[in-house]
Amino acid sequence: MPRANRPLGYTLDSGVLIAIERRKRGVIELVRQAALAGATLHIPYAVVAEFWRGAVRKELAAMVDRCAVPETLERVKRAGLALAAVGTGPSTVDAIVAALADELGEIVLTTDAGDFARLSAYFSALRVHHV
Amino acid sequence: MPVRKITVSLDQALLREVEVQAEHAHLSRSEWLAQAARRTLDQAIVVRAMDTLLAEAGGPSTAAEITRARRKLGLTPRNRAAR
Repeated sequence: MPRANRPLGYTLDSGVLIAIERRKRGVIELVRQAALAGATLHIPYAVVAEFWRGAVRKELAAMVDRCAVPETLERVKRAGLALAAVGTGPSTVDAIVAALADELGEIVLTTDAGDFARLSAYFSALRVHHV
Repeated sequence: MPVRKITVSLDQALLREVEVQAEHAHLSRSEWLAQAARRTLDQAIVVRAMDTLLAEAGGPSTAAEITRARRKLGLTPRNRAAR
């Protein structure tokens, strides 16, 4: 589907999930408003691996179950190319988040906009909201 | 997962809208409706989960908190026009 015709969507990084787990009201309301607006929410499997440490609240677990997206080989290759292009700073998981958001035409929701700003050098259309 | 077929009734105007959107997305009407149902269900589950977590974190958001969140998401009228 052409990028301009895609519905509004957000790709979440680990920091957003951690903030929700820590009951940061602003971030919880942010995700709530995104869902109420009909936006799609996506969480790459790599983010789940970074975040998941067992004792996750069932509400947050339900959200992860609904929003989690498996990686594709093509996407992780693009993430690797992005890391090679931008050098030190962003993690592999950051690059996978950026690659998914770029692929789906979504906006990254993150608690660390700096690393995604660096990744924008590779994903030129990447949009990032710091929460 | 096995597929179970159901029948839904749509008025003419709604059916036409569904057909337009499905064509736009290069999907059959059935596929488009199933995707819309899945998306709506996912969103409802996320909203319910956030409602529960907010309740535990002090109660529903204030109008100011809601406005701040919508502004950050670019959902305020001014931001939407610019998006």
